[in-house]
Amino acid sequence: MSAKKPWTSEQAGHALDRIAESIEAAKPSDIEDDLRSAGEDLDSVTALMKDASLAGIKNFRQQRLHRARQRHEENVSTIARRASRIAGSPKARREQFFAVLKANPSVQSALTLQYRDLNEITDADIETALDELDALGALGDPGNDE
Amino acid sequence: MNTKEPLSMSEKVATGDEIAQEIEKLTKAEWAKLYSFARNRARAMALRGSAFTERDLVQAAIVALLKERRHWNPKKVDFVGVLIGAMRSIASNYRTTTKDGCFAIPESQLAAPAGDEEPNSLAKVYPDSRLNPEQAAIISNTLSEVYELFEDDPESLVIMDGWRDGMSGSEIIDVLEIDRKAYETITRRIRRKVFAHWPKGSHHVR
Repeated sequence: MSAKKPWTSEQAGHALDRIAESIEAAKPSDIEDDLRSAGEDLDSVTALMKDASLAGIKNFRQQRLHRARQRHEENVSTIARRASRIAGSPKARREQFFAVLKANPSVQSALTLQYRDLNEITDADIETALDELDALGALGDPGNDE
Repeated sequence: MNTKEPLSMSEKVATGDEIAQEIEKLTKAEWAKLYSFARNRARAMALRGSAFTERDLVQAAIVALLKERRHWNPKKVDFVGVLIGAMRSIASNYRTTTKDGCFAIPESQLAAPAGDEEPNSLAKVYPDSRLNPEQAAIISNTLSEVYELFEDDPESLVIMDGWRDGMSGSEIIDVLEIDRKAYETITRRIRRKVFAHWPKGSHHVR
């Protein structure tokens, strides 16, 4: 018997693993008795574990809120970037639209096919077209509001 | 549901509200079992330098249940079993992570993240060549002290010898030619002595 020989961490780890198995297999009432006989305050144990468990739910919800806030901030940022590139008023957007077409003849020919007569294109169509051009990266420079 | 595989009718992914309801239903005896298991696994992690307490571990288990959207069949496994499984998994993953020498600080002991840093990890693991020898020594000493208490109980001593040598429960049962019930009875004697030797009041290793 080697009673006086100190245990290594590895040996202690093995023993803890076996004790964990015995805790897992035991009835809760047996563990309750074991803790009571060991002098543990079971009300304190219950309060500690319950508080930790509820804190886990709160923690998870805070993480979800954090992610939602990040997504919101990204959306706001995307909208802000768009606003800085697409003009604010219908008149300015129409001027921006035709300026882009003038600078990009290939885009003009593609849009002519789509809208037939670009002089009769509506403000809503211009806004949609600018959104598409922005998505394609054709609106490099920030648009003027007026 | 946002799960990779379809769930059977009896299997579900628990929501925060459902878990909160299960928490309220737990009895004092069930909390005692969860506490004992959490404390045991926190000690095992501390041998490898972890700063996790039993409180940190049960909290991390709840977060893992929700974050990983684990499937759970209440007809097969009760809530205590689910939580024990989650804690076992965290402790086992920690052991794997720290094979090359690291230490972990649970998220609950870290300062709140600043700016865009998302608080999504259960623990921060840092590489470390030293495995907190003082903490590991306290735990190892507790077990060797318990061993010495069984001087007049050769059955317990021989089982602890098997544990110390890394034998499984089944291997010990085979070698000693005893049945599972006898093994569990002896194991319980050891378990009670170990419980009595862990420090009371403090929920840390020391």
